[in-house]
This record gives sequence, structure tokens and C-alpha cells, in this order.
Amino acid sequence: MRVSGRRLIGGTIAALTTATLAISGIAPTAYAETPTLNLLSLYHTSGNTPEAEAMKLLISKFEAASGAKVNLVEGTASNLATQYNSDLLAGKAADVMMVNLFDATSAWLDNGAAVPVGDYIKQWGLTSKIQKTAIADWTSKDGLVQGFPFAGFTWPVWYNKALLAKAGVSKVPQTSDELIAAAKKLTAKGIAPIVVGGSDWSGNKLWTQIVEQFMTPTEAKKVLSSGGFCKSPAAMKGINEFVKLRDGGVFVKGIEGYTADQMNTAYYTGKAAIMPAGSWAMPNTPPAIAKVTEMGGMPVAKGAYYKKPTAFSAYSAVGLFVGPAGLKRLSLVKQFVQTLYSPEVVAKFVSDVAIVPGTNTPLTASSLANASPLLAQSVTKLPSKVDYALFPDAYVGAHGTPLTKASALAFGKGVSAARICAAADNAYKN
Amino acid sequence: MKSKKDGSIVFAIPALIWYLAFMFGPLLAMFFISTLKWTFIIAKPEFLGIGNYLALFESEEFYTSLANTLVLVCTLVPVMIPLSFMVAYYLSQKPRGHRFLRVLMFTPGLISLSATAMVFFAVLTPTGLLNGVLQNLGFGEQTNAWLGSADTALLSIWFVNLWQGVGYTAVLLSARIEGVPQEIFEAARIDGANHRTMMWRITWPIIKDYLGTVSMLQFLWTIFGGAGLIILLTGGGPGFSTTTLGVLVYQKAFLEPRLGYSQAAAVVLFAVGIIGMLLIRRLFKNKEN
Repeated sequence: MRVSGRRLIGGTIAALTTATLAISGIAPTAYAETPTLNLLSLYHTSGNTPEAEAMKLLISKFEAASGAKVNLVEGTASNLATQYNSDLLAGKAADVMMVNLFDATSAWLDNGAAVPVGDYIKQWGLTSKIQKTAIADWTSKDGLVQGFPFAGFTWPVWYNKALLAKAGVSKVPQTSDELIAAAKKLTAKGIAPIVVGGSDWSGNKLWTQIVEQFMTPTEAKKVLSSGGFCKSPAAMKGINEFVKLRDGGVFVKGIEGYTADQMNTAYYTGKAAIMPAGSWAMPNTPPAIAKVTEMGGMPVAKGAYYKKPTAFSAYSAVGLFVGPAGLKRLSLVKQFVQTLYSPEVVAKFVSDVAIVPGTNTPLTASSLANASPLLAQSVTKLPSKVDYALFPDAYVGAHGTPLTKASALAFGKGVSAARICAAADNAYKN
Repeated sequence: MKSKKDGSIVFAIPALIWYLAFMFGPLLAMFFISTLKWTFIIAKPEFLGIGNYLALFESEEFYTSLANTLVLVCTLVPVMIPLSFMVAYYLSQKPRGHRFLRVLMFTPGLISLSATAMVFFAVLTPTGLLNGVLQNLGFGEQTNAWLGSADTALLSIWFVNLWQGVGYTAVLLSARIEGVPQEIFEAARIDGANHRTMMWRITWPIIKDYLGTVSMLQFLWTIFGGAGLIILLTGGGPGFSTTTLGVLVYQKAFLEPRLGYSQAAAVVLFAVGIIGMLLIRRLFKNKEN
């Protein structure tokens, strides 16, 4: 078949335009009419994603039970909120959104882009099925439940016991001084001590974890919500402790330039002995490294508010928001939530995605171990070893980006505590 | 009598409509949005007057961003243009393999921003190529987190911009130099002019107008387009050490988000752009004109 030059050019332009619009998100997402449930989701069914099979199970079970179809639109963490906001303004928004709770999505309730679900939890008999702490994590400052909690995480500190032993460190450090001593031994053997993405969110979480250690949860909430690091003696103690650790050589050289991906690589390949990482990193851990990994917490200083090393745990990884469009299909939303909370679906997400469920679904040791022996360890053994520090995201909100830049500065050589606290406070100005 | 120009407006109408709709409209919107207190795009905006500007002028991040922008522009363009000019002059002499050299020089201009960022991330990261080379040459103590350290991050961005711009600009300039009548160079050679004289005292003045245009393009790229590279490589950090006004506009609009404040910063960036263009125009204006 012969294609004329003009037609070819026209076709190419049309294809490029369509692709450009699709990539840029300019084209409004098309959702079909009822009886279809329009779902915008961080979890995908396509590609080689760990959650693909679990999502397929969820959708097929829902479709079989309801007779309705799911129109799934997949998004990513970086663009899903923007995509939904654009769709909403265009009048083409999804009914329900499976997404993480962070500053952009936590603004949905205040701006009418999502509806509170506290009453539905009661009316649909879900109160006993959802963990109270999970509901608390999804409750806004005004006391409204923002969405149905689903997936949580643990965020411990990983210790490669084989590398510690090679350096002559017999047990996982419990205090800052023990950590500094262990780091010296590791460095002397050419092993990097703690690796973390000093330039990104992973470093920011570790920095916050260390800074929080002298603060009561109430004070931490206050400082993380509105700043005031320099004026808070407890926060300053924490920042000084961070400087002490950094200058004591507990971090890998060049830490300020590392990213979370590089952190994972360094730990997975046995080049670094310690890393703070969430449960989502557990299924990808090479078995040889998982075998020698002990989950613990970040050591604390003497006099800290927390008496044990600290870790994070929260239920904000993924939940289900209901948009205004979902109110028109409330019976379908109800069925979808019930399917989502069914033991079979929860178990599949645990085994495939290594989530810590926000439901009260009983999990057997074998189902956890199937997901990852590290997940099993961090769910069963970790709680007795650590204190859980306040997870900052709900309080930091929109200040997260500038605060991450401040913590990135903190990882730099020779940066003083005064400069760090000023940079952190600056993140809250304006 | 009917002027010759009367009919020409008809042909300009489509372009004018396009310009008004897609250039002038967003420009007005930028000024208008800068007067609003507007967080998320789905939130209801409130009129704030000059509140965003007052907040901007009181903030440390603004002055740091402005300083970083000026440092980048005021050091990069004056280095890049003479360097590109020297390369361009060499290329215009058509040395052996000049065609291959031209392609090589132009290559950075053909690489997408994200690919450029990936390449330089791999070079400048703590476990990257540069530190590897330093380590192997016995300069292990000099290794650094080039993009992560507040002392070297902006300098690293500067070098990446230079790498990206020199070859591309040189190819543009060499095309212009080749358009200069050869008789001028031949006459200069007969008069005993060496390459240095021909470069700086003959070629430079002849193509001065074009150098002004290229400088202006490079200036505009650095203050507006350059933000993309910074966002990909450092995100404006650590601290505010690589945050330029362009990066600040992006961060306040998309990450924090404060649309009104972001557009107030965009208005200042716009003003910096206009002032810079006027200065460059004045600097490269031929006296005869």
C-alpha cells in the first residue's frame, strides 16, 4: 500500500499531538458512564509491578460481586494528585482514588475534592475491621476521616549483621555512642556505615527521626507543623545530636549527594552496613542480604525522650478516597471497599506488595514470610526492640519540599547546627 | 495613496491571534495570579493585592534565588560567548575533519534535558565517574558529592550548562562567520594580520549584532530553560544553594504549592529577563546603528 507524503505527515502530526497531550496530561481522562466505577490508582495492573496480580484480584472480585466494571486509570505518585485535580476541574474526575496520603491529597477534603468517610465506616460496619491507629492516621486536623485506610508500612533501620561482625561489631548499636564506635570500626574495614539518600526524602526522614528524639510527640507535632526548630531547646538538642553523628562519621562519604535508589543499591550489594528503609524495599532485597539483615531502630542519645532506638510506622501508604463523583455511585463504592477489605485481597497485597495492612485482618507468620522474611521480622520482632517516633508527613504538609532541602544541607560537611535550624525554620516562612 | 504596508497586516493576523491567545493571555494571567492567595489549583483563590510581593521581598529564599540566578547568568554567558566564538572561528577555517567536529559540537543540543541530566548525574554522583577517576589517579581525598555539597552544587550546574551550550552556540556562530565575505579576510591576510587579529579585531566586530542575538538566546535559556536541568540534577538544593528564580517558580507552583506566590516570583523573573535583554542589546549595539 502506498501512503502519500501528505497523509504520512498528517498522520505523524496527529499521532505526535495525541501522544504529547496524553503525556502532558492535558487531555482529560475519559471515564465511561455507569454502571462503571471509575478508579484512579497508584497501584497498577499493567507492567511488571509487584501489585499487578493483587490489583487484578481486587478488580475481578469486585466485578464478579457487583456486576459493574472498573474503569482503571493508573497514575504515579508524582502526578496522580495533579491529574485528579485537572480531571475534577474538567468535570471528568474519578469516583474513587487509591493513593497515598500526603500534602496534595490531604488538601482534597478541605477543597471539596473528596468527601469525609467516617460516617460510611460506621454505616457499612467497617469500624471493627479497620485498625484504630490507621483511622487516626487518616483523620484530618478537623477530625474528619479523609479516606478508607488500606496499606501501611514500617520504616526500620536495617543492619547487615555479617558486615558488622566482619568489622568486629558484635551487636546492633543501641545508643549514639555505640553507633559512632561501630561506624569507626566499619570505616576502618572499608565498609560504609549508614547509607541514606542525603539529598532526598529518605535522608529527610532520617534527619527528622534523629531531630525528634528529644521532643515529646506533642512538641514534635507543633514544631513539624509550624517550624520553630531554633527556638525549641529539644529540637536543637536533636539537631546537635545529628551534627555529632554526622561529624562522628556514621554516614557514608558523600552522603549529601546520595539518593534513595543509591542507598538501596549500596545496601543490597553489601557495600554499606546500615540503612533506614521502609517495608516497600523488603521484597526486592537479595536473599543473601535479607538472610543477614536484622531490623532495628536508629540509636538514640542519653537523655532522649525515646528510650529505645526509633523507627517509623504509619498507615498512610495507600488508602481509598471518595470523590464527589463517587457519591453518585455510593453502592458501588461500598462494594468496592468491602472487596478491598476482604481477607483474600488483603492477604494478596501483603504477600505480593509487602504492605502492612490497615485492617484487622489476622496475618499468619507464613503469609508474612511469603511476602518477605524481612517484613515478617519487622512486624513480629521489631515492635519490642524500638520506640515509634512521630511520623512527620501529616504535620509537615506542604513544607515537605523546602524541609527536604534543609535536611539535604544538614548532611553536608561542616554545616553547623545553627545553620541547619535556620534552614529548617526557613522552610516554614511565607 | 495606498501605502505598500497596508496589505501586510492581513498576513500577520494568524500570527497575531496566536500571539495574543497563547503569549499575551498567559502573561496577563501571570500578573493577575500574582495578586491572589491561591494554594492548590482546586482551591478557591482570594484577592491579596501586593501581599505575595511583600512576602517574596521579605523572604531569604527569594534573595538567594535571585543571587544564584545573577551569578549563573553573569558568569556563564560572558564565558560561553567568547569560548563559543573561538571554537566557531576555528570551525570556520574548515580544518581537517571540520564536518565531524561540527556534528560533535552540535550533539549536546540534540540530547534531551532528561538524558543530559542522567549523564551528568552518573558523572557527578558520589559513586560516579568523576570520583572514580579521581580515586584511580590517587586523588581520593578530593572526591566529593559534587551535586550534593552546597559548596560545589552551583558550580557543577554551571559546568553542565557550559558543556551544553558551547558547542551548539559555536556551530551557530561559525555559520555566521562563514557568511562574512572572504575578501575581507584575504585583505587582512595580505596586510599581515594573524589569527588573533582576524578573530578579535575583524571577525568579532563584523558579527557583533549576531553575537548579541546569540548572547540574548543563551541568557534567556539560562534564566528560563536552565531551571529544568537544576530541577532534575539537584532539585534546587542542598538548602537553596542551586535554587534560581526559575526553580523557585516551579517549586512554589507545583510542590508546595502556592500559585500566587509562585507567579509573583515569575513576574520578578520576567522583569530580570527584560532588563537583561535590554542590557545585552545595549552592549552589542553597533555604534553605527
